[in-house]
Amino acid sequence: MVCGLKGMMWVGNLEKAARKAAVWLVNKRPIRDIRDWGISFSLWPVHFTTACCGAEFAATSAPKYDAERFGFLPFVASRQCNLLLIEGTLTKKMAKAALWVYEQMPEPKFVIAMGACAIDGGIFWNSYNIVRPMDILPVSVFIPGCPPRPEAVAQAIIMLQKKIRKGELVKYEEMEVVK
Amino acid sequence: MDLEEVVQRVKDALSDLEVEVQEKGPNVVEVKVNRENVIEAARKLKGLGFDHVKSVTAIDYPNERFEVVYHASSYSNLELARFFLVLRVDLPYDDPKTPSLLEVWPSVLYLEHEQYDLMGIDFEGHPRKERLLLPDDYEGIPPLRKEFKIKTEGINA
Amino acid sequence: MSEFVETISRSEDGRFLELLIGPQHPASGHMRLVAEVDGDVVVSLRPNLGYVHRSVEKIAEVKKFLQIIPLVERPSLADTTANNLAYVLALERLLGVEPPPRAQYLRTLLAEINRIHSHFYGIGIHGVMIGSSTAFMWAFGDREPLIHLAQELTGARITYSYIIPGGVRRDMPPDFPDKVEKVLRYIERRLEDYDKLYVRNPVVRARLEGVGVLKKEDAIRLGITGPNLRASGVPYDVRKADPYCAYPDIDFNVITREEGDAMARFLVRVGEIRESMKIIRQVLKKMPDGPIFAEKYYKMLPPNLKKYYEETKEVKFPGIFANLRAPAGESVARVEGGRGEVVIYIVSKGGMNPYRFRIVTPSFRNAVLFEHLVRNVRVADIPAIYGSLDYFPPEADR
Repeated sequence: MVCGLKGMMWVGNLEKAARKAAVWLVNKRPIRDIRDWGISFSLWPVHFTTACCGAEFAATSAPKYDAERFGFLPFVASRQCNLLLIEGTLTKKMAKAALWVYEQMPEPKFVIAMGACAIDGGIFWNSYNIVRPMDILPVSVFIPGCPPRPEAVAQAIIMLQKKIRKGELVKYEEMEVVK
Repeated sequence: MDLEEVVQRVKDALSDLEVEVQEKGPNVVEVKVNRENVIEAARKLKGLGFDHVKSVTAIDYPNERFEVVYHASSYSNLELARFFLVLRVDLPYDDPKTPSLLEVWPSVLYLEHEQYDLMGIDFEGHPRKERLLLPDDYEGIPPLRKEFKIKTEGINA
Repeated sequence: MSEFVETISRSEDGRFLELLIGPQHPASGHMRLVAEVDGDVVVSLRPNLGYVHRSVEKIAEVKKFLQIIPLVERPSLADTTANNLAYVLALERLLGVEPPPRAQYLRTLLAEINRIHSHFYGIGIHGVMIGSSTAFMWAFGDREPLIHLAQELTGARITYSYIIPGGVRRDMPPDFPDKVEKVLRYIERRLEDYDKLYVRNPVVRARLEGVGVLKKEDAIRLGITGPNLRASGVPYDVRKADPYCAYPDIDFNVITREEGDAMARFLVRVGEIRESMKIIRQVLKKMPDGPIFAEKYYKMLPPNLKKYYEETKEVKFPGIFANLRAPAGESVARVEGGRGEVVIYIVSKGGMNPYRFRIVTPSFRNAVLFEHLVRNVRVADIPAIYGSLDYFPPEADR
């Protein structure tokens, strides 16, 4: 059937098509670069301290090391954060809480594992009560050290930012848009 | 107040109980008591001025016995505060039960609870019989017992 | 006793609401508080510990005596010297070693520097909890000069492992006293600012005064320790009651307050910072010359390490020390750390590892205060009380 522009019928789900177009657009350069650049400077770690490295994490946010200049400011509610820092040992009891917190965070989200304990148990490697974070969470950056110095945490933040800007971490395709 | 005087006072206070009092080190008085008398002994020691417990330790000697060690001292009497009073209770290995000292020293609340959790010592009369430090769903041998093995490193691994 | 049995009282008509706070919460984290609330009033509260239980006591049983030094430091990361010192004192009692006087003074020096920055840590976290970011920024900023000092002395930021059986690991650098004096003057100046902007701040006073009052007899009965005990009027300080290291030669006061509320606990910490500065000045003035390492172990060093020690005044242990054997027996030591008394009890059977290792940290003994103090208070008072206790969960759970 031939019909002119006048009589054309739109078929299909308009909303779905619009969403598809939006995803296509944000994944298209240069929008993608701008998007990743923006994300890399608004990292909000959730205020979730898993073990003693929290002391050095706090020092990182404090005046001398001032992580806020990287756009990195700890925030209270997990629903408004996009970065989970595993600060040191993850015990079995804490691992459940860490998973809950991670699941509550909106996409795109990143994980940094801080301290030797978060890599392979560190000094507590033979403890009966620990979990290795990489077994349960997708860790992007590891920070060695027991505890890592605030400079090392700052470097990890910069590394994560670089990774984000390279477009390695943020993937919008699989994301389900919430109405 | 010197150590001998404290030892003498402890001996006098516990004279009608079956106990073994001796001095250990420069400021440690050790009292060995069996579990039937432990509450009575603790009450008398509290009367002397040992008003709080600093530490409760259960020690496991496999297939032999358990030992529960209370380290008490004083806050209200600063002369006595220099000394540690060590109260030791021996328990048979197959029946690790001892009366809880909570009614004498409320400061043992968390300390005894921890030993129940990690060593499996049953403190009779202690109101809390749930997990404290271990995950709530933990089952199996209490981890501080010697039969609970963890990995070791080095040549003796 | 009965007061503990029914801490969580279930109401029949479902009037009370169970409120779970944590383990992810704006305060320091690591623990869950299970509160039962009636409207805005907390009827009862139980801390749920164990979120950072890493089994230090079990691991210590398979570690060599020297390997335990870094292990005991990990639980209380902001106050490592206290644990380090308590463990080494207990071990030295077992081994029968006496460190030389200069080492005693160096230990005291580090312990006091650590006490000041641990108190600043506590003040900062308290600030976060009552919503005063200024207090956090100031306290954590002012902590850094002290950490820097400790770093000059020991080489590490917070995990020093400085105190070893028989002495200390390195001598103090020659220009160290001048640097210390500079920092102490700075801190003195800053403490006056704290007084103006934080201590005499009406908002802070309204949040803290009369909140979470701990009576003297309750503090004694529950075995509370540290500044929390002294804020309730008990003048107990291990440095006075059972002096160790260089404390017998040093003149200082035990800070106490009678009120027992959150403000008193905060003010005791500020007072102790002042006393610690006094101690540091005396220690530097009285610092004797001499070796920093016990003669008994110095003899055991091989010639190249002896030469290294003479040249750099740094002790390096040869491998033989890894097999340090303690004689059979037991020993107990206590030390006044920033948060309170650390008790370490070692049972040895004469091997290379302790047979039973027990560490009781101040936070664990203070944990009972949550259920004791947070009762019939408003929900908004929970952080004010929690912060005032200077409670560090990894230290409590070990």
